[in-house]
Amino acid sequence: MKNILFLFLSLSSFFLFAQAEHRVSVGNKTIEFREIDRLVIVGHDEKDLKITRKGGDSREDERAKGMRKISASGKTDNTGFGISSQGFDDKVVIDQVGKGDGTIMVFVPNSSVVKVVQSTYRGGDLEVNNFKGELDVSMHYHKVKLTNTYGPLAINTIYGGIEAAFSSGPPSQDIRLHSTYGNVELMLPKNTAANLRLSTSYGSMYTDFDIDVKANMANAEGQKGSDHDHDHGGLTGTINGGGKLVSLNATYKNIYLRKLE
Amino acid sequence: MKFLLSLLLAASPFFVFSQSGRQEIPLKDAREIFVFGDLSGVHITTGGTNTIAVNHVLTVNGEDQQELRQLDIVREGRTIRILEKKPTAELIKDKFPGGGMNVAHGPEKKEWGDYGGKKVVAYLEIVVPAGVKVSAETVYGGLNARGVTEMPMAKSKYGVVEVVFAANASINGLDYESEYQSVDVTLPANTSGNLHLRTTFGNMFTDFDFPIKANMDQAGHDHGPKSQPIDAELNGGGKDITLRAKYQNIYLRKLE
Repeated sequence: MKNILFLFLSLSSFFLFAQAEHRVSVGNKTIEFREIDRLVIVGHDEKDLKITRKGGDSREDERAKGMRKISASGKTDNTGFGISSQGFDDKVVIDQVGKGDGTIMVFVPNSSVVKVVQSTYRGGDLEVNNFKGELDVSMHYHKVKLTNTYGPLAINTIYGGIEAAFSSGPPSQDIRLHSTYGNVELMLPKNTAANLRLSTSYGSMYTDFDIDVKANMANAEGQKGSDHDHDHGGLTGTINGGGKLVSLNATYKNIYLRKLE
Repeated sequence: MKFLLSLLLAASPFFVFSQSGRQEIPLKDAREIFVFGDLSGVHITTGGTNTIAVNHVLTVNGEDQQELRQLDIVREGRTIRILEKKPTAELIKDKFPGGGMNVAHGPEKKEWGDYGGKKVVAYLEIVVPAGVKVSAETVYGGLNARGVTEMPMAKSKYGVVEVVFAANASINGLDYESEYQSVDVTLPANTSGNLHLRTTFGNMFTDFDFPIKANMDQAGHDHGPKSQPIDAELNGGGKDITLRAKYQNIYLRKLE
């Protein structure tokens, strides 16, 4: 009996409980995510896009057995995750079908170009982690949180803020982070060399970097600026001698540029 | 006095106040029935030829409550209206004060759990002859109909609306709604109609094949939830088939 138990225990690590996933072949196409309530994007070195889910209602809807989910978008769930995946000549479009359930976790090839559009107040913040490809985000109501996203970044939010951190080395591509009504926070390794362009119209700017300020943006354009003006303008400068562009813009709120020790 | 008595007897077929749970209502020349349930769930099946069989069940903690049951049965032209006047939720609370109330709205066995309170079973079983048009509305209980051939309207405030049509049913327009629960409809596979599916907070499911034109609410800065209506033609289109479930799901099934 002891031998059988020992054999079972030693073999148990080989019995993996397969996690549900859906794979999409993307080639070199741009991957576009549209209106997905809760989305986490993670870069990986595989060639396929992999869709999984975290959380949500684990109870199966007995009534829905044998039927497919439909929505006014005209899309149908062809992945089993309440997500539609459609391939076109130049892009793969991933849409939510109907109401969201849990968090959709997508693993994208690190060589991809990824676009995310989320214009509704439903759902939650976007997270992108450990991704090396190009990222373009348009977000209306929620925050965008980036960790070690090393591709060129163009992040635009309206009501939510932006939080970005680079802990695996300095950014190697241009970064543009813009929020209209939220804070913009960026944490960089202390030895990051970058060309900075920081601006806010109604907020303040804070940093613990030593910035070699080249110009105040209002002065650089030959305009008179004063403390009574709402437009506090911005500044251009460099840190550690200059390098890739880091452009941070928080129209109505603050900019925080932090040093990662 | 004799005259008054005669008048009362002559008018009595129009107002029947039921005192027992079971009764048979002669169909006569009626071709349509409307059923209203307040606390009760309503369960409709087809059978018989000349009568409508009604079973009105109300028990509280396992005991039959005859005095707390009342149906008004009214004939208006060729329509028979079966209206539940008692019980209501307020009446049960008044008669059995204190504690909560757990209600089973149908004959299915209910797992009561350990929540305490009164255990109430309240439902109306209606058997109508095939070919009779049925409409129904409930407040607290669900609405469940099987094998019906014509049921143009079904509404519930707090219950599920679930209707399975007969294979030979003629669908000449449907208007179904549940305000707080789901709507689940099974139609013959060859049903044609103009579908209007509406849910704000739920999902929609089907095993029918029909093309859906993208119809997203392009509100942009809309601060409310996105309402996503589906308007589509089923089997070439026809009369309106409107299914609404604001807070829960819509299930549109094909009868196999």
